[in-house]
Amino acid sequence: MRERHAIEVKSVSKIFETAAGSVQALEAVDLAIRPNELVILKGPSGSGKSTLLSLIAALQKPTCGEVVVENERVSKLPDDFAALYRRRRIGFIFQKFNLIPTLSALENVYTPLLPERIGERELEEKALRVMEEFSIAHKRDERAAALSGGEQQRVAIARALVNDPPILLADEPTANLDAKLSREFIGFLERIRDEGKTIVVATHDPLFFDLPFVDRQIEMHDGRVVGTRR
Amino acid sequence: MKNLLAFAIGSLLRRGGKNLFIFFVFTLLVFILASTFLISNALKSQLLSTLDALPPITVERIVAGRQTEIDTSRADSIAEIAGVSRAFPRVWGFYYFPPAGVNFAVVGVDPLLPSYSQTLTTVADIDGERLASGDTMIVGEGVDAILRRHLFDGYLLFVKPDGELKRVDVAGRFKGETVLQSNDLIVMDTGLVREIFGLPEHLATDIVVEVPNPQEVPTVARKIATLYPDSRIVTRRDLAASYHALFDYKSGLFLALFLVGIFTLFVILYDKASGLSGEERREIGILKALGWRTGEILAVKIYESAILALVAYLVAVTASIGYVFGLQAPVLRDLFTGYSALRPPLLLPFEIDGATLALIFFATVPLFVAATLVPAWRAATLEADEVIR
Repeated sequence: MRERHAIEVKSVSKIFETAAGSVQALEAVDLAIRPNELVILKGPSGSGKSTLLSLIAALQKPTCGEVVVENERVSKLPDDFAALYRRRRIGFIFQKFNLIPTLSALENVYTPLLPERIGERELEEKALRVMEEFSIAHKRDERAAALSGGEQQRVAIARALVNDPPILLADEPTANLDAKLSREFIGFLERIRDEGKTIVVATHDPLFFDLPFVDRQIEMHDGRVVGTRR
Repeated sequence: MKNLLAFAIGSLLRRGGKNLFIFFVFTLLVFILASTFLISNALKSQLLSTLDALPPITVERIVAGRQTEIDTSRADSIAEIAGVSRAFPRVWGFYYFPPAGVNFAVVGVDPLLPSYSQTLTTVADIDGERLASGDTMIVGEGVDAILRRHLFDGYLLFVKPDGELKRVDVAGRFKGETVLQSNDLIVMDTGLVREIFGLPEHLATDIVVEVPNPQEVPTVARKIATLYPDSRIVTRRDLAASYHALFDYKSGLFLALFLVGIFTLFVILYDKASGLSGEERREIGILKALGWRTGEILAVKIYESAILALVAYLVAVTASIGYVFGLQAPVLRDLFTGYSALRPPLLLPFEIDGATLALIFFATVPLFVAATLVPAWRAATLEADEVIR
């Protein structure tokens, strides 16, 4: 019987056209991630980790090959369907958190839900529930720009999880955090994993490399997968 | 939709500084347009409502291209023309009042004639006893205000051509609804007007001709012109047409200026909306990365411009109502009515027409929103990945 996968990356290559010429970001990458698996993509800067996450999130399209998420070929989705896919099935934690600085913490958290037909009260309730989970509800009315790095990180996690996505992607989530906050993030990650989500973290932070709850570490170099460790 | 609308309002407030300039310019343009229409409509409606009261034909005598006195005996000859029910001379003129630097229109009537006394009591508040007491006059609101301001409370000392002074007391005031016609008007006994202007009994200012059948007015006018080649025949239709032409010309002039203004605004708007700030580009990128579709971002951008335009429209129209009817439209009113230095100030009666407000709305708000569509589309189709990296 064929094994069921949450994410499948099949012979994916990505070439960026720049003023200086073509840049090969990914080259013939194959990858399969099972449901509820926590995978660390590691490798130096420029190895293609972030590009791979962008392709899984359908923020970009591959030059060739295909990305299949929960049996749907997301790499072929038209833009609006790709947006809906992100909204309903993907939670994304960005490297610089990418909060909207002029919105409050609460507004940032429920922003992904705004286009849905949800009343204001329900929006707030959903957002506050997840904010409480990450101990940031008390900062609900603070503008994002006024929050500390650790608080911004929690708001970003809450925002990524507010739509209860089955898949969570995190791109260098501790790159802007000190060691204490990085360890705190790892704690959050374990909790989220226990909720049954499939998680892919792109990082070159060594803190992630020896975690007992990580299922797999995939090493990337120059746009290729060069090794896998369980 | 409700959520996106709320987001758009929040977004406008968060970027108040950027939007303030566009809001101010657009409000100013709508304000000028609304004020122009309100002034023009108030004046037109006043004129049209009282046009029926104007004589069908007025005959003036022209010498060397200028109006001069006309012999009263001509009225008898004109009265004999078929179709004419009555022809009578009028005595009136402008009296210059040096303390205020204004001209009053002084019109002579025979208050004892039943037709006049009946009309006068309808259009003016008259002190009957005082009117019958001797040298009295009925004045318009503007005249009354100017006399009071210059300490002539209830009377005026006229200076006759021979230098003698003639005291005339105020026996009544014209009612507010006739303000356009009566504002600078003084009505008194014809004999008194002759005395003040030094006009002999056999001369008059002009002759009014009454023609009951409007179809016959052009024929009668032609016959009078043949009978007295030195006369100028002014019909009611001529007057109405000239008033219309005057106000239409002036409001048209403003409209042309407005179009230039609004075109400039749209150029600014397009330029400003196209040049998204780094913060805005980033925000749109984040929204798209979080799963907002192009149409949803476009909707927010359109809501933003529609709200801005709608609020600006409401502010501008409210301000223009206050400016035109509350403050009596300083500067703009003078451009419309002209001749302001030599006449008492004219009062603009309150007159708002729903169709005009709708016209102003449809000529501005949808245009404003349309001008932001292309920049909004460009913003909404930004690539999320390239913006948030």
